[in-house]
Order: sequence, then C-alpha cells, then structure tokens
Amino acid sequence: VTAVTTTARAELGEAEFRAELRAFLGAHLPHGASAPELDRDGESEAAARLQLQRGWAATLHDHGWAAPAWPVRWGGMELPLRLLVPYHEEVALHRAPAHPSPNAFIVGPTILAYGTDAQRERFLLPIVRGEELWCQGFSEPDAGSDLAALRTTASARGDHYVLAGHKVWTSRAMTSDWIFVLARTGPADSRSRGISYFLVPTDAPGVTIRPLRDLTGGAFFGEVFFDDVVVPVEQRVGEEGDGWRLARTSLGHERSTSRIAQVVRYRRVADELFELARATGAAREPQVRQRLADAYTDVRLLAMNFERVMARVVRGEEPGAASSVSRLFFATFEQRLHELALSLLGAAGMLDAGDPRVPEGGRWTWGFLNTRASTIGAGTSEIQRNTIAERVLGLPR
Amino acid sequence: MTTTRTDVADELRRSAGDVLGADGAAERAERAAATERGYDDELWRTMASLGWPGIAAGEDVGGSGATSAEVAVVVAELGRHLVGSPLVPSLLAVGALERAGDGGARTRFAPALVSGERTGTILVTAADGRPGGERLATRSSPRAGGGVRLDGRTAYVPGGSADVLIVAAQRDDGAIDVAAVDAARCAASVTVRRMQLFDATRAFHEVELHGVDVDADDLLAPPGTGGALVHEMERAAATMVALDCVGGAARALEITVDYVTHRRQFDQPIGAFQVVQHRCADMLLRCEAARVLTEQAAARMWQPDEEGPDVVSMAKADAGDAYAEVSGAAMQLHGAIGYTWEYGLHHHFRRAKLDQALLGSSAYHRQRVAAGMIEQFAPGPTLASRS
Repeated sequence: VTAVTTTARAELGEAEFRAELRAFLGAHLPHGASAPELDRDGESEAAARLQLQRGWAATLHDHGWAAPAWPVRWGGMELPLRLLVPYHEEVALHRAPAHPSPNAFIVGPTILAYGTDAQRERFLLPIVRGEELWCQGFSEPDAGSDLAALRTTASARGDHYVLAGHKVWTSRAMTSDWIFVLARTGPADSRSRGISYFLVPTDAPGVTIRPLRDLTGGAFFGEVFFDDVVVPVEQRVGEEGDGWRLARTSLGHERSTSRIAQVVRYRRVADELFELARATGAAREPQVRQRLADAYTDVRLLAMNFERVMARVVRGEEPGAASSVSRLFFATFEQRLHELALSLLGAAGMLDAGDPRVPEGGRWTWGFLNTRASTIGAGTSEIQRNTIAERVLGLPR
Repeated sequence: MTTTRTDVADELRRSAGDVLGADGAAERAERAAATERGYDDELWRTMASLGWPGIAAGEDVGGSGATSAEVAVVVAELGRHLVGSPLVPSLLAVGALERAGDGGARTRFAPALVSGERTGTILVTAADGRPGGERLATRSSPRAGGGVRLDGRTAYVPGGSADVLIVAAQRDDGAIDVAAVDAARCAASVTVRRMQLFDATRAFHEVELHGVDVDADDLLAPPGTGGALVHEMERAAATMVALDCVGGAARALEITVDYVTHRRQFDQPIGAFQVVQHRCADMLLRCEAARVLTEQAAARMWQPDEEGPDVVSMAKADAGDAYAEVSGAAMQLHGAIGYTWEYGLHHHFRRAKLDQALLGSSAYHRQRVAAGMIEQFAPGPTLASRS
C-alpha cells in the first residue's frame, strides 16, 4: 500500500471512511477471529492467540490500516482526530484481534516524540507490525504507587550503562522481546530528577524473567531481574535524567481515542449480563432488577464520560478532570459489573473453567477475579483519589 | 467570532449565579419559604424580568425559544442556591401548554405565565405525590359540550398556590384528560393548603379540586387522550428534580472543599488528610455522574420516551441519591458545625431527601430502567444453549 492511499483515507468523510474500513475488515478478518477480548485462555491457547494477533497486526500494516495516529513515515495512517474514534469503534465492533502488544502504544509514541531518528528507524516498524513485543519495566518491589522511589540503577560506563535491579508486576514479560525500563542514573536520593528511560532486549545477557502467578491462576505478569546488564547509550531515550518526564507524559490521542473500544465492549458485556439474568430467571427478582438498572446506567455513563473527554480533546484542551474522574469510575464499574454477574450465577459462579458444568466457559468468574486488578493496576484507586483531591478539587497537600 | 452553545450556557450560568447569589443563600431561602407566599417575590420579579419563565417557550407567546439546555442551566442554579420560587412549576406549566400546541389554552394561558405576571404549576401525580400511572389523584367526568368536571386532592404540588393549574385527571374508564384551570376564577372550588415539610426552602401544597368545570377548549389534548402528554409532564418534572439535585450536590461539595481547606486541626488543614481527600474525591465522582446523566435527560425533556431504558429515570435515581449522599457527607466532613441550624448545610440535606422522594423514589426509577431493558431485548437463547 502506498503512502498516497493512506493519505487519501485521512481525507475521507466519516461515513466513507467507516465504509472503507468495514469493507477491509469484512474481507480480511481471519475467520473465527472474534477471539476473546480478555486474556483468559490456557497457555497453548494464549500462544495461538498471540500468533493470530501478530498476523493481524501485519495484515493491518500491509493494507495501510495500522497505527492510525502515527505518522505515515513510520508505518502509521496519520489520521486526523475526527477519524480516530470511528477507527477504533469500527475495529472494536468487528471484534478484530487486538494489537499483540498493548505497551506498543506507550513506548511507540515516546520513541516518536523523544527518540533519535536511528531509534525510530530501528523500533517503530516492528512495533506497528507486531514483530517485536514490548513490556514495561516501571514498578519494583519497593516502588509501586511511589514510583519515584525506584532503585534499579543504570551506571554510566562511557559508551554504555550497566543496569542492576529488579522489576515486578510486569505484564506480558514472558512473551515480550523488549522492555522499556526506568532506572536511576542520579544519586540514590534523587527521586524523579535522577531517572532515565532505557530500551533493553529481554534476551540480553543478565536479564532473567520469572513468571508470577496471579490470583486468577494464570501467569500474565512476571518479574524481571537485571544482573549487570550492558545497555548501549544509543538505547537511552531522551536525555539522562529526563526519564520521569518521558514516562509521565501521555502522548498523542491514541490512548484517549482507543478507549471507545471499552465502551463498545462494555455495551456488549452489559447486554450479555442482562441475558444471563434472564436465562437464570434472576431478572424477575426486584433486587436484581435494581442492580441491573444500575449496571445499565453505568454503561451509559461510561459512554457519556468518553464523549466528554473526547469533546475536550477535540477542543484542544487537556482531558484533565473529566479524564481522572472517568478513570476512577471505570475501575470501580468493572468490579461492580462482575460482582453482579457472579451473584446472578450463585454457586455456578464458583465453578472453575475446567468443570464441565461451568457457564460460558467460566468467563464471568474469570472476569470477577481479573477485575480485582482494576482498582490497583496503573495507579491504585487510592492514588487516583489523591490526584483528584489535589489536582481537581485543589485540596491542600 | 462564533458563539457556541457552551458560551451561551456559561453566560447564562454566570448571570443566574449573579441574580441568585451564593452568600447567605440558606438564610435567604429559609426566610422566603417561611412567608405566606412561600417565596421571595422580589427575586421572582427579577427572574421574570430576565425572561426565565419563558426561556424555552415560543416567541409568539413572549418566550425566547431557547432549548432545554438553557432551562437546565437555570434550574440547576436554583438548586445550587437553595431557591424556592414559582419558576420550576411555571416552567412545567408552560412546557405542558407548549406541547398542547396552538389552541385555545396555550393562547389564553401561556403569555401571562411567560411574562411572569401569573404563576403556574402542574398536578400530575397520585394523591401521595408518587407518579400517577393508573391512579392519578384527580378524577375527570365528561360534561356535555366536550368539557370535563374535575375532582380530587393532590399533595406535594410544587408552588400549588399558583394562578394557573395544569391538571392531569383520569376518568372512570381510565382515559386521561389534561386541563388548564384558572385557579383565581375557580377560587370557590379550589382549596389550597400549605404543607409543612422537612425541606425548609421550598413551598409545597395540597390542592383540592371540588367540581371544577373546564370547557373543551381548555383541554390540552383532545378529550380522553391526554395519556402521552401526562407522561411527558412526569418526565419533565422528574428531570427538573434531577437538575435541582445536580446544582445542590455541586454546591454542597464546593462548600465542603472550602471548609476542609481552611479548617485546621492537628496543625494542618483537615483537607490535607487523605481520609478527607478521598471522601471529597468520591463526592466529586457522584456529582459528575449525576450531572452527566442529568444533562442527557434534560436534552430529552419534553420529548416522547426513548426506546428501552429511559435516561430520565436513570438521572432521577442517580441524581437524587447523589444529592442525598453528597450533602450527607458534606455535613459529616463539617463535624459539629454542620449539625447546627445556623450553618445551613442541613438545608441541602433536607432538600436532597425531598428531591429523592418526589415524583418516584430511586427504586421506582430503577425499576423503570430495568423494565425498559426487558422491553428492549427479544427473547434470547437459554443459558444452557449458550455455554
């Protein structure tokens, strides 16, 4: 596909754009690709799904439908903001496989904005095509909510650094080819001022990855140990000591616009939950109806919050208050929804996925366990409340 | 330069804030509600002079032809400043007349309501103030010539001492009439009693009609066909209550944020304690959800029901609960001072509890949402066949 085709797409009206994207999805989506949107399979299924996702990422790129917000020069579509939501919405409605590396849209924009041309040349295309998968090395055993206390060190030795330390809660660590790491280049007490941003291959000598079993029973995240790992200076992004700023800046509109996928998914999940209530007969009970009404209201709110954040983005404003409030809302919403599902199922909700009697492959039970992470990962709800209190309400520190 | 809807709404909000004022709102509200009229007449005159009673009415009856979004801005400001006034009931009466379209009643009644020369309200519930459904408080008997005779007693009528009553009434066969009643002209057959309510900022009345005769051309819908209009009136009234909650809850949070920022204990502002900060963050979350839902409901005010779950019921349930919770949390975070009558925070809490109960409880509205969900779904496969 030529750059011209892609550029032409960026100029289409919304209706034609959607039609063209639908036609592409209809023709190219692998049969049966409406794969689970949640990572809840066993190991062999997980491997098969990852293969499917990588293949799909490459197909998207081959046809000029990959990385909608990125520059054409680096394999993206350079879509204007007005087409980003339609893009992500159509893709979600068609239940197309997700990109194999969600972190790609964290590290990619960082390299785009702060990396060298050599780094862009080296890393961006394999990211777009799903050929190299990434994980994020931020959290440490003693630096979770207080990330600026991180202790992994990167000692400068001329043309390279030597990395030593221990990262944890690293999602997809075992299946990633690269890890982007925050490490301390300043003195031990330098907090956020002494942190730099590095790109490290997971097969570098001295890198050890151990799976970490989570409460769902799966090993979705892992621990990463750096035992004097040599990292060339060329693999530092941005200036030394500027890593905190790079990690804290959310770049571009990819992440805010792609949240439409959550809206699409949860509209569907709410419908499925309602079906569940009806199928189990629970929908006749007044108390259950009250909770179903709340769940439905929450899904409406999710969509309305998304529209509100988007309206701000379109006006060129910071998502700000609307965004932090809707994040906190979303975290607790996911838990409420699955708690309702589980209570509808009664004892059947306690069946393990391996039991032949398990309803719907155990998805609700898995979702219930998995969404315990919703109020913890990427900033606990307590930290979110701190942020809202201090930055939105202006309460004293 | 273009003027966007947001600009218009912001300007209206500012001007409403200027007129209604924040300082001493509780005290003023309490004083006004305690008068015989039940509201501050001077403030009402000011509102009328600004065109608020006719803000969404047609220009041919003296209105400004604005959208329900502008109505929403003003009504939320009333809640914010604890105002009790004939504005909301008059807006509802005007809205009902507007929906009736060009006819005798609209032409006769709307202009004086729009100018604020007269006040209006609606009687649209069962006797106990709950949504009427099959049991509207007022009964209707057909008269020769197409008119009707109205009898019944309705409680919890907002501003029930109004000059014009828009009355929803039910016949023995279930058919529904909606009639405009000139209360002053029918004084002999209309009895109005002020109710003593928990909420000390607004006036509600019990209105009794005994044999009020209405001519055919004062009906807002052809005889016996008022059901759809009554439903719209109920939805608009519930939306007004939700808007009141949104304004009141936002104000209760603001007052609290201000208080915890300045109140010092243990040598620091209490707002620096996380336990206080998190409670405030949760209050904001409640306020924002209620506001977002209610803005959507307001945009659909005076429109027929949507297919499926009704956002008006979502808003009424959520905003009512949010106002009660947020004003309750506000009192808690104020400690003992919030418990005093003089501080006035309790007026928000009282108003919230009444709002929660008016025009259907939160449970009633959630039940409506669930019923809408059930209508929306065609019979599906059973659980067994899906697993």
